[in-house]
Amino acid sequence: MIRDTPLNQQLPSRRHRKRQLPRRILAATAAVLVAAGLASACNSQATGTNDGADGPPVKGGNLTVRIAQDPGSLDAVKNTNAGVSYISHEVFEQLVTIDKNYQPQPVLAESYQKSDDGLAFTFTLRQGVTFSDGTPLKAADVVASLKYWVENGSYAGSLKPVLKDVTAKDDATVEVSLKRPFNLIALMAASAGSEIHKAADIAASGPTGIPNDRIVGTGPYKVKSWTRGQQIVLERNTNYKPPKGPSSGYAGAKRAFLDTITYKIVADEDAVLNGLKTGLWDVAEPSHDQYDQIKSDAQLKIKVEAAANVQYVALNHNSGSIFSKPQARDAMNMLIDKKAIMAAQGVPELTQPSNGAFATLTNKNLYSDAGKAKWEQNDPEQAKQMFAAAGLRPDQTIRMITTDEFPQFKDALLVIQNQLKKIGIKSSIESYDFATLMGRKNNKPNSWDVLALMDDGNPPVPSYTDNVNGLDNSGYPRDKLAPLLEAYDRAKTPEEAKKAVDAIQGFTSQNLPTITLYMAKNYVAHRPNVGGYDGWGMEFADVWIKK
Amino acid sequence: MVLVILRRLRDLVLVLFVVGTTLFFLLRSIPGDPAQVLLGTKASPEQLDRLRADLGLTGPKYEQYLNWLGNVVTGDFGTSIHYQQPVLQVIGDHIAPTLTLAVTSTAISFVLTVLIVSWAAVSPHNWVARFVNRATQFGLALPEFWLALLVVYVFALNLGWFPTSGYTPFFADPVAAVPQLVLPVAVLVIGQTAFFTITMEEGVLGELSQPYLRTARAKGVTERRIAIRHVLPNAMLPVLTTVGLNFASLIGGVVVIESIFVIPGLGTTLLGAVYARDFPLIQGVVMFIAFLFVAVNLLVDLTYSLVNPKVRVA
Repeated sequence: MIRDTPLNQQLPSRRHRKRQLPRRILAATAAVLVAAGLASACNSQATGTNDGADGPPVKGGNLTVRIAQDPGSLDAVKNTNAGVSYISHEVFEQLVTIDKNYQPQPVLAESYQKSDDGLAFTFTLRQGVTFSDGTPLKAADVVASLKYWVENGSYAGSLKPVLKDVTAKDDATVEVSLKRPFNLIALMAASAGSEIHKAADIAASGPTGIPNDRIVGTGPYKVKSWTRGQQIVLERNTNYKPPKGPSSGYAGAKRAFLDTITYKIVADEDAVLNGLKTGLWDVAEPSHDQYDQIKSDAQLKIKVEAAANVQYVALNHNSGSIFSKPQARDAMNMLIDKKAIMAAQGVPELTQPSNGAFATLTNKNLYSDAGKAKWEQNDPEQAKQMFAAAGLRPDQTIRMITTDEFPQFKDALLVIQNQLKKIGIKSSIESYDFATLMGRKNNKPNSWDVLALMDDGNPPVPSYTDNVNGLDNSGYPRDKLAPLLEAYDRAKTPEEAKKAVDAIQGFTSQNLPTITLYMAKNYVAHRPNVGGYDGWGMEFADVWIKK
Repeated sequence: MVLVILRRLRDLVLVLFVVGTTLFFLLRSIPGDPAQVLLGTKASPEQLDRLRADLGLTGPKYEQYLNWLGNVVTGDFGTSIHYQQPVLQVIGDHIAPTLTLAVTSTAISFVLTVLIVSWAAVSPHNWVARFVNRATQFGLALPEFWLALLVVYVFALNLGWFPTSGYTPFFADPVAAVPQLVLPVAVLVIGQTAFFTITMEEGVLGELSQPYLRTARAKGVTERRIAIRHVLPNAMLPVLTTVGLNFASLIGGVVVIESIFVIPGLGTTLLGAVYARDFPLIQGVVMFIAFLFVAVNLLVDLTYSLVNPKVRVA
């Protein structure tokens, strides 16, 4: 389970990541790592379950977990590195979080109430909760944390214009008032940035977040030591007061069996596999390239996550691109053989068709097949005619850009380039590091036509995903999208919400901010000494080391 | 000597000024934004603007430059955006692993080179000389990353003699540190020894054609004595330059080895800083490497006069 993760730092759910660092190195030596992080936007649902085969839980010991890069800080608001959410959810808790079925569940909140008009949420805090340093949790801490999140967190951007105020009614009650109805609980539950810090630590935050000597949370573990660039060690928080209910996803009571969790920072994918084989670390997210090798190793176990990243190509709606014209976007959709691109990834267990949806099949709240019929279209000859009708000149080149930090993007573009070539259309592919790619997209909005990236397959709200919001700066008709998103926020019943999701999916299918290619699943590999691991992403608060 | 050192210090300041200034404007002219990297793709323009302002990345570039320069003059290289720590502290945290690799591998390579070339010079027709001749070419041709993967596969995964990766500070736990260092150092030593050996052999060949050797032989000096007392010390000078420059380049240039063996050194730190557009850290590390280059060059020049007193450092 990885949340609030930018693409540059996401662990890719794909087979080629094995070569990511060497490629980076070559590119960098020619020009000059990131992540991370670089890391998958993949929310995870465990397919594996702890069925009791691991025997009774054992208290004590250390679990060593590999992460791709030093997260720099554990401030999930101002640092969207994947490693931050990996570690911070062992240290911090939210008012509400998601269980393994992506349903919001109270954690630091004992309960919450939504007003009849949907404009106010009242949270009652659990009694007796203290931070790891023994300071009692108070409403003022929650107020400061939520304001900090809304003000600074990129994933709370959709909430900011809607938020009226966050106030403490008393030491145990917090009220969030809104200007219009909004799906606050879903956003809060799925955003690591909504974690609760001490108000004093929020006040001490600097440009890049809360200082690392103020990492104090209410979660089952606390930071013991941090050796820059090498490892972060967590130890059991003896002041932890678990919520009620069994552990599920990030929700429920965590039992904190382990004395310590050591996060080893290892970027190189070969080193990751070698370290798993020789026991240097117990758990890792290896690359898709290594899936078959790990599967055939009797000493290693695999948990494939049910959720997935959405791999997509964004189409530029700005006036300088051919894809400002709807016919050209439809032509591109008609041309791209999405299933061929998915098959080219070579690991069927880790990929599945997207059906044009912006959320995964397992996400019952947000999955819609309203765009499936159009997504399945694939007729190169008809696409050729549609491109001509859209006014694509014979000498015109379709400019495709992506980042080389995730080679699957370029792989997809190469397949598309080949499909374009077959119908006589010229195209170019340029690949950069993530920062350069974003710089080009933002600063030269008319200098590209197609951009390959990926996004979270389990967005907390539809507006959260690029596959609804689009990536370009001005051409995409967000004014027409806004009422549909608002209808989702206003929905009072699951049926109304589903209807709104269908409408949003229909809109994106018609306007094609992106063309989704396929869903890529992530997997976690671990050694047999790891007990109680249910495969819920990189969450280990209920895991033990077998004797 | 004091004048020489003072002159070199003046040059050092000039080099650092040019490197720092060039890098400052170069970094700010390439695409990519640290705020975007930190906040991700979904940050609003307002959030990005605010973070840029907080990081001191807004306003005219010359103002940013003057601020930076003023701080550098007082020894403040800024705060790393990614690590949230002073740049000098980040460099300090990551220089030890790199220095360990560089010092150990350079020292071993240098000693090996002197032994190999000396043996070959004393007995030019034996099998060692012929073997060295071929082995050096082979050693130079081996790509470091390939050799690193090979030694990990053979000696760590199959034989289990050494760990596949890892780093422990030597003085914290020598028992854990040494096995972790063996493979990365061995990989570096193979390439470096080949390079140093070729350089020194060239020097030996050059010296062997010098007229003073004829005089020495005419005076009845033995071939062994000629090699050890006359040829090798003179052939050592170009090797010192090579060793010095190679050492300095290792400080920022062992990224592949650091990555494969999971050593948290300066090379990988610099690489990560570039991807994150951590401007203060990039500037600090590059200036530190430039400083090392100049310092090592000075050291090599001073060593020249020790090896051969006839050489005067200008």
